[in-house]
Amino acid sequence: MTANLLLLSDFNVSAISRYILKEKLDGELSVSEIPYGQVFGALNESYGNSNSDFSFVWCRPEAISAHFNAALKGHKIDQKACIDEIRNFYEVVRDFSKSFKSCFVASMTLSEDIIDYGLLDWKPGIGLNHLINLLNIELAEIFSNTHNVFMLDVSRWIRDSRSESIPKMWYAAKAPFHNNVYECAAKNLISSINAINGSGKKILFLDLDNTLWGDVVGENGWKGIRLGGHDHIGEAFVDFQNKLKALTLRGIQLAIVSKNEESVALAAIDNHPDMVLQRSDFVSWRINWNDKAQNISEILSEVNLGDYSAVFIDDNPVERDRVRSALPNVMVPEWPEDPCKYVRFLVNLGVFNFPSLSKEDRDRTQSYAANRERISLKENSMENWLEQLGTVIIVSDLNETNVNRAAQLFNKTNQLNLSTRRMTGEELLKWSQSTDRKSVVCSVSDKFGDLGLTGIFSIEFRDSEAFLVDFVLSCRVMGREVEEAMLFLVCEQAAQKCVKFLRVCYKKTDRNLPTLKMLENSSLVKSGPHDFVWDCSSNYAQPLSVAIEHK
Amino acid sequence: MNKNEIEQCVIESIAHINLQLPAEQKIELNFETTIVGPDSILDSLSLINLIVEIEERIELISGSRVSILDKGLMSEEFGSFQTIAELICWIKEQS
Repeated sequence: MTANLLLLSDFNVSAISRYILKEKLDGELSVSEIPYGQVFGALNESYGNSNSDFSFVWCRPEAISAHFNAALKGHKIDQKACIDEIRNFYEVVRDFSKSFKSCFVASMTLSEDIIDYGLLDWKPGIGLNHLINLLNIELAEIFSNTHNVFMLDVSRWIRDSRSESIPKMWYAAKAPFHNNVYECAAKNLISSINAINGSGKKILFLDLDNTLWGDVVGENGWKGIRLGGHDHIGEAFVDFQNKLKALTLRGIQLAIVSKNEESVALAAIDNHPDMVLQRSDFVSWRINWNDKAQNISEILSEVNLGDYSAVFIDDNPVERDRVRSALPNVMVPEWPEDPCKYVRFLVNLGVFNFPSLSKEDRDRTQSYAANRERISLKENSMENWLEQLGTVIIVSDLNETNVNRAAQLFNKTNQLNLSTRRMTGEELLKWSQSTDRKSVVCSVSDKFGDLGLTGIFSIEFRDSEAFLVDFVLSCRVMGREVEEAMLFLVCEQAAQKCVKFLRVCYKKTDRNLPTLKMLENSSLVKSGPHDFVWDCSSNYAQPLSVAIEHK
Repeated sequence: MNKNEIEQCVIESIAHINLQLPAEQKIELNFETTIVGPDSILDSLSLINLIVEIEERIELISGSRVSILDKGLMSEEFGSFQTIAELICWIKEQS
């Protein structure tokens, strides 16, 4: 998937282009720049037909606001007038952003070379630090209801770069930041674009010994590992676990791949008083003496995720090398020997990025824990399992109240996705409001809990036929006849419109092969390598294990 | 600084700048490589980055400042040098 990024700035940001070209992006990313003297003119141009999917706006406040410029020169200013100038500029940016799938806006920072007010710099009405923070809050408010605009934190890039700007680069090349800051910006942009394109990292595989705790549990027993206590190394491992736990609350899944005796390792997790992560925090584990790459592949298959969505953390360079060579799409960061640096390395990975955060994301790990129980039920027999699950689909039309979650699912689902269209919630709603189109969302629950909004389909009606445009289902509910029930609903909708045929055309991507398999296993009739049809004069059978409720 | 030390500074600076460049824009480590003018592979920002890097490295090692950017590059059209070898000679003349 090729994406285009347009850069707009009042200063020289060419370094970002070259860092982006240097970094590996999932798919491709081409970058174009508006010359830095022309940002204001460029914002007022129409980008309706632009080839760019993404834009990035990075402007210094002194270039936008005459009042802010005066404040930098030591004058007392009208703070409200300054805020108005900033607001006016970014309202133009907000209009400009409508031509793009997503627009990134850099927060505002103070130059390193200002003369601040020292002790008074945080005093309202005087200090420049107070003023810049006020302006950034205003900026966040301007974009608070604009779903395709995301603010990026420049002060974080400056901190992470640990590099002072070189004054000569400003005077000679109009580049006010150190190259390392532009490198951090490029990485952040790539991670953000990956997240929006549904290619963000979703699962973190973890070793145990010297990764989640110090020392070897198999040698010392769980009472002998270094974790917590009056020990700086033990504290570092607890802190690392706390940060991992925080990731699970944002929808990142954790899994264990460890060479150990399972019973010994699980005893440590269950019994050690300073263990932060519990069994329920892991979507799965393979604690055995098998190849870790094989174990990772098995778990990915179990949770229906691709290897591109995985990160593997292990203190052992040999294991890292093995996984890197066997699974090149898995991200395997170099890892420090010193456990005190683990948290910093985790934070600096910068790959756990989310364009939105829903209740489903926050509950995902618990949902997978419930899935483990579902699977143990499944081991009896498939039919019994499906019946005992008590799956219910609640069906409703796409509307204002569900569109945000629907758009999130729409844009990040890769495997069970018929056409892999990417649209904002606003675009999706607008598209479906036409009288010859219908978009339906499906929420799924079972006896283990509510899985939330996990399916969408869209149909277009023309020439006495119905065309399935979108068919999107979360991998969390695949393989339990929800997909068959959704196809039943699609055929039902088509029949209600009195059309003769329903036509389904599979659009291949490098990740949606499961969709083709699902269609081939369905009751639809295959009419071409990627084409399927259903005669709407016949009833499509509703799977018996799934109840359907219309809302 | 002697010529070898200057060469070393320039080579290290090019290696440092190459770390920031995509593969197709990397500077070939060859004394005849053109770094200034229409035949240069470097855009203006990368060229200024390289010159500033060399200036800072020389100052760090020798303790003395050489103004390549304003005296060498900005003084005449396309400056006083175009290739890496010419740049090294020019710095030697200044030091």
